[in-house]
Amino acid sequence: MNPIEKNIIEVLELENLPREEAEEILIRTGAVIYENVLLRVMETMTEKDQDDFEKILDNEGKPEEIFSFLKERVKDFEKIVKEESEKFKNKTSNIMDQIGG
Amino acid sequence: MAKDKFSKIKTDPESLAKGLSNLIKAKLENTENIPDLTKKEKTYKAGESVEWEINKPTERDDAFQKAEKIVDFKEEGEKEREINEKKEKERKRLANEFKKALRNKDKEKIRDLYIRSAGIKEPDPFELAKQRVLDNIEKNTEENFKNFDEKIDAAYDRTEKVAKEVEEKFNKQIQDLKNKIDSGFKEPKTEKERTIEEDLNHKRTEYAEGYKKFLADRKKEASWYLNLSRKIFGSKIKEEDTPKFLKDLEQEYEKATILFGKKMYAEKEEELKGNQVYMKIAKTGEKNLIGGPSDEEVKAELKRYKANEIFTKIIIEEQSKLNALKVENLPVKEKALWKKALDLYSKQWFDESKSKIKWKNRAAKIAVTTLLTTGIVAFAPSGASLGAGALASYAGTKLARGIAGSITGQTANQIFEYSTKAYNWLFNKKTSTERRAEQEKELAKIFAEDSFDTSFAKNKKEYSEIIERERKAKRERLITKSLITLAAGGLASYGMGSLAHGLSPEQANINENLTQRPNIHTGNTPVNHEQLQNQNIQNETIGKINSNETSAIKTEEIKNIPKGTTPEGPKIKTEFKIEEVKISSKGAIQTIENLKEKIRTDYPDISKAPASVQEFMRTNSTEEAIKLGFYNPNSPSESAMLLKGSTLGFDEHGNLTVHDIKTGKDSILIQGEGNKPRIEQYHGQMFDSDQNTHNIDNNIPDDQNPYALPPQEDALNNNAIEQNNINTQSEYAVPQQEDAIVNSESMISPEIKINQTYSENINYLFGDKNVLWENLKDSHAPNLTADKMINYSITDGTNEDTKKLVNYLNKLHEVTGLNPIEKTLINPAETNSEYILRAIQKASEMGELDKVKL
Repeated sequence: MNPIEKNIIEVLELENLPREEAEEILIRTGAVIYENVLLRVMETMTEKDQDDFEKILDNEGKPEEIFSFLKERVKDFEKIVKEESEKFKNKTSNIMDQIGG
Repeated sequence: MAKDKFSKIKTDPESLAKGLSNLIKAKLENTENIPDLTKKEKTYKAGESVEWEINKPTERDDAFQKAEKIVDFKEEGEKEREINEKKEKERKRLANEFKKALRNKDKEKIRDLYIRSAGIKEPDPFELAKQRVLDNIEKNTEENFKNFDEKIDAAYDRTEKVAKEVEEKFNKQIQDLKNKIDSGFKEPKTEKERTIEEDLNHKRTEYAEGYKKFLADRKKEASWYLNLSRKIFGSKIKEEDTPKFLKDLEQEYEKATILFGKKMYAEKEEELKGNQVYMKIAKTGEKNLIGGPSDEEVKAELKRYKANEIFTKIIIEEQSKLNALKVENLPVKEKALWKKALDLYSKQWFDESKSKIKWKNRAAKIAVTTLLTTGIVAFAPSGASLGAGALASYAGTKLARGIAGSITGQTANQIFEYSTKAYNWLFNKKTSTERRAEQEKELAKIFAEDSFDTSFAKNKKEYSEIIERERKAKRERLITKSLITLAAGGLASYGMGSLAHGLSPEQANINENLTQRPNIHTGNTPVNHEQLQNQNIQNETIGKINSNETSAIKTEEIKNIPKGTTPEGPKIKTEFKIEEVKISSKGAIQTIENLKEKIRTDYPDISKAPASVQEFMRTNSTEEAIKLGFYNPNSPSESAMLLKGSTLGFDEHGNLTVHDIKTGKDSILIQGEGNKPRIEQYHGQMFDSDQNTHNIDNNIPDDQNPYALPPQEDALNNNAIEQNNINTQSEYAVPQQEDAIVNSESMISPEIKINQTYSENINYLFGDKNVLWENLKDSHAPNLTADKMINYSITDGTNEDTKKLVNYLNKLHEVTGLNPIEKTLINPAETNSEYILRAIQKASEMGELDKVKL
């Protein structure tokens, strides 16, 4: 396992899962954070940006195209990602810490 | 006149251009004619119009497009009306057929109608709203054409507004209806009455509603400030800006989430510990674990369960549900974009079966996940490498605590380096093709599959073993129960050897059968009763968890197990595992897919699976469905039909078996023995799924609503699968017909259920003795009314039919507390049929319908 992946798994306490399950959880977690990020960025876009974004989506853009686009057109995109990521982890930690042993 | 203009616009957009040009000229003339304007103002206004005409062609183009769309809407509206008329006719026809079928008690017909109506959908509120606006536009076409662009904009605004209103109203009605159906038409539950899950749903909705209100208030307050309202979503809402009511709602929602998670955890713990079998030594009071998972294994499995199932349920799924509610507050366009972006993420990027992206390495996948789950790249300056300060900053975050605890300097630098590379690859689109290829190569190297350590594989193996042990423990527990029952009946010596030495699933099966035939030799080592009794140790076998009530195997005497014995079961033949899935309402292909998924999990190394399983895994699921006879594309009745609750799975001999819950029979479809599995096709009931294509109208009264048809069969509908596959491209799409099939039981109206219960009960009481019931049911003869019949004294000589009716009337009274209405000066006494029907209705209102069913 590469160090990055290992660390995420540790942060999310996924070390008790088989690798495939841990990866699946990571992808789902990413999806939820992506949902949150999109909720914030969507309305900050101008109409033109929205149209351009839609074109990329309609062409089934690759991840790097989408993220580069968002970084270029959305002010503080990286900050938004960071905030949403931390918010998610704090919330998760708060809830999960109260469950079980 | 109005129609002509629309028609012209549609066929010749140029004429619209001319029309608009004339309009502008007219504007200029009008401006000239306005006496109150100064010359300067007139010139300015004319110039403004001319400028609009000359310099802003895109606006004009937009106007054309909007005009065309309006015409499209209109035509769509007309088509919709035509379709609705046809649907209305079809619905009426179905409703009549249904009523007739009910009258005739034609169950086959009722089932057939049910299937045909299962695909019914609600009308699209947006279409309704559009139609309303278009109707208005049509009425005022002349006026609209004079002020074309303004009117178009206004019409669009109005469409959006009305559509939203209609949608909200419609959704509320649907939700209210669903709530009523869910609650069996009872009053909404109070907080105390709600289950933990219901409470969670309730609190989530409350929080989402509160959030919506908060946004609306914020927008209202900010409306004076130019365009500020558009920024509300994008900005992070500060803690101090969040009103108390919203914080309270969020807190309540979070509490409900935690409570639900705790419930899941406790239930799992109970389940796992329930599989532990302990033996108590009467003399010493000591308890020994003789079967099921050890405490450590329970602990490990609980950790896994928490990290996966609980996390998924209460964090991932909850957040998604909440976001889906929140996104409803976005304007239509943004909402559609949001959904589209998510769809791309989940279906194209990460669902490899559908993805067009070839993940030659896992770099991109990990880069995206890394970015989102850690925010790690947020510290990287745009397109540049991370500086020492950034790394220090990163290391100090809460996020990095896990890293700081276990990774030393060198590895942290590696993380730093890898994340920078992932970042550059993901964000730096201006990189040259060559450089990009290099970057991908580097990432491939870093994230190469073979760089993964094997700790997970180890965990995976352990996990499989735990599951296997759980299964085994369940069997052992069952057998222990059976044996103890036998022991209590004087057969104490039977089978104790098996219990003491653990049982394989195969042995368990044998012994389960033998518990029915205790005199047959088990083939296990015979038990020396005398010797065992001489040991004179009275042991007690108990289920550890919830020993107050759930363990059925406590305090029974077992005399044959030496003190301190810790049985070792025979080695499990892991290559023969029991795999089973429920028949999916989404069809045969989905069921096969589900089974394959399970097999993939349970057989990390598929080469160790039986030949039949391997063959099954190699075959395409659609082909498999055809081979097994679940799907026959050449037949009009192409899809197999099985009751909900039926299962498909491999048994411990590698046979693929379908269990039909309706008949209670197992049919072997693939014989697992030998190297070449033999296939037997499914020969059960088939049906034509093409008949399931009608739509619903919620205006139909309940008693005519074809949705309310009662059969409970789930179809292995392969067409439904195809539809579902299409539908899964958007998780927000309208539920397809297979959902309707699954949910239809809950959609049956209480009236239908009451009538069904009544008919079935009468059928049960009188069978084919129609004449007898005809004479009894509406009789006002002095001794045959319900109030007399209910008090009828049953003696040995009483006729069986009379006994049954009298008993049933009394049962109705016991359940509902209702007495038959006695004769008065004005009204006759209640007849038997009247009383029975009234009492069943009452039972239904009380939620006790099942208690009055015969």
